[in-house]
Amino acid sequence: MRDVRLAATVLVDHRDRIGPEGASCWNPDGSRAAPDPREFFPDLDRPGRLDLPSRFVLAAGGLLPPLPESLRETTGVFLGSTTGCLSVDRDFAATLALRPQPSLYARTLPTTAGAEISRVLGLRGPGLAVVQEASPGWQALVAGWQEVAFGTCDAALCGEYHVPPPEDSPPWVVLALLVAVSLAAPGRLLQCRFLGTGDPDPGTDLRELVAATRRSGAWQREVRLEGGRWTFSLAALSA
Amino acid sequence: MVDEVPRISGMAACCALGGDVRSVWRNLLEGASGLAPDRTGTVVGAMPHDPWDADGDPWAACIAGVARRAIEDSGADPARALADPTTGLVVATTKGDIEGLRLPGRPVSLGPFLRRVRTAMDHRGPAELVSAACASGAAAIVRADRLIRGGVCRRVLVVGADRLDPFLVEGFRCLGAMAAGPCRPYDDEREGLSLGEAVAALWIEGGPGPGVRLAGAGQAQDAVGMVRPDPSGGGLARAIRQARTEARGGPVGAICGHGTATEANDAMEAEAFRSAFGDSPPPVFGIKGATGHTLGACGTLEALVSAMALEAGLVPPTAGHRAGSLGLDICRFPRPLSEGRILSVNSGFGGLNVALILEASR
Repeated sequence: MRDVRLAATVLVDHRDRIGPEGASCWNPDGSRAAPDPREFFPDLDRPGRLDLPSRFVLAAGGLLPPLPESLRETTGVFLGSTTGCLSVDRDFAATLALRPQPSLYARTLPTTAGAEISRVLGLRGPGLAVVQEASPGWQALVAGWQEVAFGTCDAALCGEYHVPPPEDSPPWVVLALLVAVSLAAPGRLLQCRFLGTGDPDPGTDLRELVAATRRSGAWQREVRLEGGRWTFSLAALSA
Repeated sequence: MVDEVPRISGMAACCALGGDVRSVWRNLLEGASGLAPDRTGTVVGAMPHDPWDADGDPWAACIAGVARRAIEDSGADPARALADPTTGLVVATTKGDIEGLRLPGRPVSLGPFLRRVRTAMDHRGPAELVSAACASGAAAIVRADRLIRGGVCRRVLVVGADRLDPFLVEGFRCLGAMAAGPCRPYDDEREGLSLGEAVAALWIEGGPGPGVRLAGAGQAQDAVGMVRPDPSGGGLARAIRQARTEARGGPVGAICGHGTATEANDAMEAEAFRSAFGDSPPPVFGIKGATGHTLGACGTLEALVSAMALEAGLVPPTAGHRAGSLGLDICRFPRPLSEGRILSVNSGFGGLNVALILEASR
């Protein structure tokens, strides 16, 4: 087994800007506009087709440090979520009685957001989605760590997106880039042994990985974007 | 880290070919197909099951029943095995219980599905629900391998499960991916897939003992598009090469192909097989002309069929296939398996590819 480093983390979390948890509006002005991924990937084709989870994940992915081309071929994507693509499922189900929309149906899989970030960044390692009520992000992180440790891939983009229907709670995304130590990448050594049970346990979401680092004052670089009607705060952490 | 290659020591399935593995295997060898028109006239592969509108949680109960049978097949006691904290559970699905979107009072998200399945089977150990589109069932087997070889679990129950629903039928229909009649994998006249439903369970253990072994696994993404695969088959070919490397080379006696019978998938697979094996890839068989495309379950079901083929030393025929010019040796009739290894591959939306090499007991 190889040693693995946590090379970078990215948090997209705008709850600080909109008041208490559970607020029904995502933006200060009350709008529910999602991030425009062209802010991060100007050459992105047909951004209008993107579902909400993909928009958030791409927004977070745009803040990652650049990956060398040689590493992209062997970088996997492991994303967790509690709701998967529920909002897209609902949108597509609403079209069933009238005229089912193929463009919507193609995005009704929990792997969609991971596939989008793979396509945009050219990541060709393994791809996996973990969808469960408790700790899906941690579980995804463990899966990615294991694949790097076993040598299946040299790097893993792991994380969690929380993009529930608007009335439920505000969205957030965490991404963590893990790299095999043999590649001499910067970052802290990471050991993963966590394995959840799939039972509700809201105290273990992946945001804590980033939040703990923010509290410690180390590796912190905070970026705040205010583009168009979409505002949120971002914290990118790296060695 | 555990050195022993994990082995499949128990299996069970319910699909359009039957409610137990013996029926499934017998019907497959006879070239039978479980595809038939449903009440709307759509050709599907429906599995034998109790009514879904029964009291309680009939879908979770169905999955738990198949899972317990897989454990029994190994000779273990299901209740004791599932209560053991070193027994892991990996559930593979694409939609879980999508019917919940239409029914009041039912969970509508995939998230609670794992809890429902665990409750139905009274599982106590580590658990996760994974999805890799139509490669989910194979990806779950890779997860089981990692959990055992990483020392997290001593044994893992892998369950692939997806069931028919108008959401899926209309979805694939609006994509133009459905065949009007029974699907015809790798055939020149293929016109699309037939949907099916299945629950397939594998009881995978570490350590020495009898059972088909997971000799190697590979996973790779196309990073090309959401629906159409990379026409060059590049992602699948890389997954196959990775699996063969992990299995330390050696000949492969047959390939259990994904074989959805869509124009794009089957052509992509042919390119991938040639890229990985040269101009004469091993003989290919596919089961979706008999079971339908069972989505998140198909990777587990096809690994199960591959394991049965290894135990029997026979390659099953490809129901629905008559003639093809993809340059592949498609099995139309049962034939002896020439080598003790079978490659099973799956590819899914988003360009996800998984390859498994299964090996007969020595």
